[in-house]
Amino acid sequence: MAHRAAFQMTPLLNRSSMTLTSRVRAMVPAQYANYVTASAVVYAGGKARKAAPKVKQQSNSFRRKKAEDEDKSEGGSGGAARLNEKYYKPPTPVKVEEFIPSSATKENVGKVLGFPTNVIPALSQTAYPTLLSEQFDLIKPAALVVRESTVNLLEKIDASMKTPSSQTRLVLTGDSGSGKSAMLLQTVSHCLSAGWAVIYIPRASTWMNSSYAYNTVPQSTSFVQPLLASTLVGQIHNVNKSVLSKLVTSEKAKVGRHDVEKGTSLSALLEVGVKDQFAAQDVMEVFMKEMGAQKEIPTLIAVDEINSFFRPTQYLRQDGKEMDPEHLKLPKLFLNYISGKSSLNNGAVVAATSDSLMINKSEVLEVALGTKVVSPYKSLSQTIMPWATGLTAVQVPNYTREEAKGVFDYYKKGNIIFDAASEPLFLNKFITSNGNPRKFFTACAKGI
Amino acid sequence: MLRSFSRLAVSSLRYQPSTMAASFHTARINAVSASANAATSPSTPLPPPMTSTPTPTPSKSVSTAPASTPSSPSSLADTTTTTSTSSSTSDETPLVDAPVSEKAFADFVPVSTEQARSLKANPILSQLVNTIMKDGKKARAQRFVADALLEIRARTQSDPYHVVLDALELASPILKLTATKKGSKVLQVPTPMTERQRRRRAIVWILEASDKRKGEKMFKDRLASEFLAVVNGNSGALVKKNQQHKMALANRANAALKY
Repeated sequence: MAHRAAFQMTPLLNRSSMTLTSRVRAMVPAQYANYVTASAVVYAGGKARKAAPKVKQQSNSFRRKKAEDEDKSEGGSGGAARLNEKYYKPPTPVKVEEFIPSSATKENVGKVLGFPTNVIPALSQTAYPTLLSEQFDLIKPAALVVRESTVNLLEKIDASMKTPSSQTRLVLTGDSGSGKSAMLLQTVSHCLSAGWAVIYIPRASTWMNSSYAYNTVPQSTSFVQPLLASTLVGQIHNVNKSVLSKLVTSEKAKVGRHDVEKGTSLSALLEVGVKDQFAAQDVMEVFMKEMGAQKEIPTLIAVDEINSFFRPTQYLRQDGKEMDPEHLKLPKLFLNYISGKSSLNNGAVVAATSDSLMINKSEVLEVALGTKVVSPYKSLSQTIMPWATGLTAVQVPNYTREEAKGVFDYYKKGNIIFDAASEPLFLNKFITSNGNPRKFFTACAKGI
Repeated sequence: MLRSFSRLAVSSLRYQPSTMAASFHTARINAVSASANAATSPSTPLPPPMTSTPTPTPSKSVSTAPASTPSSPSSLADTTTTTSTSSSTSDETPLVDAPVSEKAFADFVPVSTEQARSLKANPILSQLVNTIMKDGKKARAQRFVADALLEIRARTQSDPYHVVLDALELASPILKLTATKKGSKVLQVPTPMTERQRRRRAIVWILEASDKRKGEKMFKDRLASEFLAVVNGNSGALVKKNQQHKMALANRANAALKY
């Protein structure tokens, strides 16, 4: 009886697809999947395409390639195929406490604490560091372990609340996968919870890899990146909404084609930059000056992949040579604060190096921080070297056994370790990865 | 029809002794098995840890020798044990025949419950890795399998090892067709397969089916999707298995012939 109904009610199908199975499939309504899986999203899109009647193909030289979405979904096309209920389960989040400023103590070392609920929307404005986001996608909610080095770093940050930023310029260094980006993320979360204004740049390398358009500034050797500046202004605006509404500009300013009166709130100033990308660079400069001048709210400048600031960019000058970051106005603005040439009255600059891309490696930074020793005959860029003076290196070690234990328990609760969790298993993973956080995650989650 | 199948079963027994280990499942997929909370309790269908045979110590041989001598016929082995027991019971001087035979074979390392999902130790996963491996690039193959398992976990929130086991069981054929000549005619004879052969055929079909997936670029995504498709009941591998079974059924008369 069902197939008779199918025969009457099918949408317009061409003769080749007038089979019984395709007719049945065409009848099934969308959103059949009970569980939200990756494939549900994919084949929901596929169903929409199938429901539309197939248009007779025009004979022209251009034939658009249609991606076969039938193959993408493991549940099958059209939604008539069922997902095996034995295996598809709804995701269960792990119960973790919140990482609030008072929980960064020595007693909590080894505990995995999640980002507070008021901080998560701010963190989602900018992307998470690439490899960390893989872990956060796997186990919800996003949580990081409190480490001894985290506690030490946050103590330094809290002490810097009343001091100028030129006195606290820290760079997190360490092995690949040792937790530098994670520690920076914890610092950002801590400062957001504590009421600081935070400027967080998760991937500084995208500023220098010529992915944003750049224009010359007339009568100067500098270049400006309007869209990048506008995007950054928008991110700062969204992250620090509550903090910035309280602050106002102290004098009149001209940003691009607009005039900003004295006493406008900083949120309104940033909105100007969001709407007009060609004014965004000036907006950033005025904003940084204002934030530096006021003393009520401390500011944190957090930059990840800082090594891309200390090597030639992938932008080309008019003569075809690669240009240094100081010739780009937005990176130069931040370089001033990183090098201490400009200073915020209350605040700190915390940066993290990244080993993700070989192209971003900066020998100048490593030599300046003292993490690498090179031959005195080696020629290092003398134009970039002055920008790296006065930075303090903070070494991020691998996990201690206590920290690794806490992380292992969290992975077990998050259902990525299915072997019987025992001391020998933990020791196996810990020793083979040497405590390196990324390798420890790979060993636990993938078993290699 | 029943007779021919029973003969097939008999013939299959003939080809059993070379299998490395018994079936790694206590129950087949099609059997009625209630496994609640498969994700949290890894104990049930995992391969049982194979206990290493304890090396015979002199004290143990004392206990076993008197038990074995009356029952078994006297052989060289028994006489040596009896001589060793006599010397050990005296317990004055160290044994003249130092126990060289104890260290002749290396200790067998069992698959413990912690290493049940290890890509190196688990026979099923290591067969999967080896089948995927090309040009001896084992680490690359291990990475693929590990990533695919993680992808399955990400999509289903349940133990990917069980998904893979299920998928391999569902996709593996029971019989293959061997061509023989009877006179000038070529006959297809259904013949049984060992566990390892069956599993390999399932893996090969799953890999071939995963290559046809056009939507996904990375191998691990395609492989994970294919395992899940098998478990959900719509995969090219299942089609091939059913085809092979149909062919075997169609040619079941040839099974009775001796060749």
